[in-house]
This record gives sequence, C-alpha cells and structure tokens, in this order.
Amino acid sequence: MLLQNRIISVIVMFFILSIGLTFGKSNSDSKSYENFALYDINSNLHSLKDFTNKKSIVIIFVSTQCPVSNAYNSRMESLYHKYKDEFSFVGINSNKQENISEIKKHAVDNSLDFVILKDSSNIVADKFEATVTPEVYILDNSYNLLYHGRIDDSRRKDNIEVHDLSNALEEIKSGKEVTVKRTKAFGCSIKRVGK
Amino acid sequence: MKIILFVFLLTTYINFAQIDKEYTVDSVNEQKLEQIISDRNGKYLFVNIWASWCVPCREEFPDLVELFDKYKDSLDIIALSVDYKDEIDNKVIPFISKMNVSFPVFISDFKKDDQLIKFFNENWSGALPATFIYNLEGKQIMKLEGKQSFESFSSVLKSIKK
Repeated sequence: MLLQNRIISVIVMFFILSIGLTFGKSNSDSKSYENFALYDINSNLHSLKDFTNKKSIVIIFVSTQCPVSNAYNSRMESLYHKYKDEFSFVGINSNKQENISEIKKHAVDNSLDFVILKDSSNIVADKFEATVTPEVYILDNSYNLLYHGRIDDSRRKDNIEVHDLSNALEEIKSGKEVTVKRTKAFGCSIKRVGK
Repeated sequence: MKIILFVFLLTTYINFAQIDKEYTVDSVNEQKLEQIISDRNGKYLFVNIWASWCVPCREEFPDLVELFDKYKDSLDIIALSVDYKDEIDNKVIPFISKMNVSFPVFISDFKKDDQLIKFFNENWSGALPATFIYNLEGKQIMKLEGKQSFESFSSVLKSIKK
C-alpha cells in the first residue's frame, strides 16, 4: 500500500512538472502587446482595438522615402486586397522626416488603400521594437504576436521564393498555427525622433 | 600665350585624371568574405554594410572615409553594398567616386538578404547601415547598428585597441 502511494506520488509529481515545463516554454516563446491609439493620415483617431473585428491584425511599418518599402508598395496593396475581408491591415509610419501630407500623397500616388497611422513620437515603433521598413507584425485579437518579420524573401519581385506574410495569413485563415513565426525584415532603418 | 595654353591643358588633364580615378566593385560571396575577415595581417577590420539608396548610409560614408585615412596603418575597412549588381555602374560607382573612397568596396553576392544577416550576426535587425568589427584574429567583437560618426567610430577603435 505504501509503495503504491509512492508510485502515485511520483506520477503526480511528473505530471505537474511536465505541465509546468509546457507552460513555461509557451510563455517564453510568446509575445504580446498593449492597445495603442494613433491618428491616421486623415486625422481620424484609431486604437488597435478598432481592428479586432477580423481574424487577426496585420501591422506593417512603412515609409514614403525608403526604396525598399517602396519596392513593396504594390505587394502590400495586393495582399491587402486579397486578405482584407479576413484580416485588418494597418500601416504605421514612424519615420520622423515623413510628415502627414507627404504620407497622404504617397498613399494616394501608390494606391495604398489600407489605414496608415502616423506614429510621430515613435511610441508604437519603440513598443514593438520595430527597426526597419517594411517590417510586419501579425497579432491575434488579444494582441498576441503570431508572426514578425518580412513580407517575403526578396526586395525584387522577380526573385521571390518564399512568401512569408502570405503563408502566415493562409495558415491563420485555415485555423492552423503559423509555422514560421519569425523572419528577418531587411530595409531602411526607422528614423526616430531625437536620433 | 603658349604658357597659358600649357597651364590650361595641364589643369584640365589633372581634373580629368581625378574624375577618372578607376573604381571597380567586385561581388563577394560567403567564402571570399571569410577569407577577407581571416586575413588580418595585424589590422582590425570594420565591415560596413550599406546601400546607395540608404540615406543614413550615405551620410555616414564620409566619416568612414575619414576614419580610414586617419587609421589605415592599424585598420582595414571594407564597404559591402547591398545594391543589386546591375546598379554598380549607375549608382554604386558614382557614389564612391564622389566620396573619393580609398578602401575596397564590394557588392553582396548573397542570394538572399537573410543569408547576409545570418553570415554577419543573427542578432542584427537587418537595418542599414550596420558595421561589424573584427579583431586581429578575425573574430567578430562588435556590431554597430545605425549611422555612426567619425567620433563614435574612432572611440570604438580606440577602445578595442586597449
């Protein structure tokens, strides 16, 4: 009877320990963000919460002057039109030298139809630790990070081999876990205020 | 009159000679870079990753040129452009000619940007410019992300020489 109790105790201990390890791992891998509010290029205030009415939120840090970001304008626009019914798309411009009127003109000239917010004090860029344009974050509606990195693996359209953002969106759309959660975005550094 | 003409032709020649300083920009792959990094010959190495389209890179370049001119006895610098090969003649060379660069400039032959990031440092955000610093044994000892100044470059060099 005593031996039986000991065996049960050991099994229970292993069970508790394994649960602890599993949760520990999942916590260390996950990242989440807080709600924020910024004005768009038409002076309308948006909070992140406003974009939680679809499957997930796609946040892209963009630039008007960065040639890498500009090389992605048509790709960003195509992705937006392809996925806009299932996903919220939000562009954020955190570059200090790019003002609202320039961003507005750039959006019109390049047919960027998704919402573009101006992060004048780099508060959001700092919270997200965004460094380059273009750089993508996909969040679920509780602001947990699902994907962070590049749109695809080539600045030039004719050299693309992996469509990372599109792949992640397809997986989320199908209710699957995103396989590749982290890639490296490559491009122009975000010019922050006071730097 | 002949003297004036001679002086005119001579100055014209000198000006053209300066403009025509020949620049070549070869492409480098992983193997060639490893060789350059390991071939230290008693000098530290700064590898500056830049692009002709990157404004802070362009702003930083004169400071790199000044750094090399002052410390070339103890320092090697290579500038590695991530422009595309078909942009060498119309973008890269005109810029480095204007800068009067006296250190080697290469263009990346890495197939993908993420391969370049992995080669230099997994912790590099991928933002330009970035400078990777190697010691006399060819070991990477520092990474500088973002635009630097002559003063900041010099201070780093002095600190690693101690």
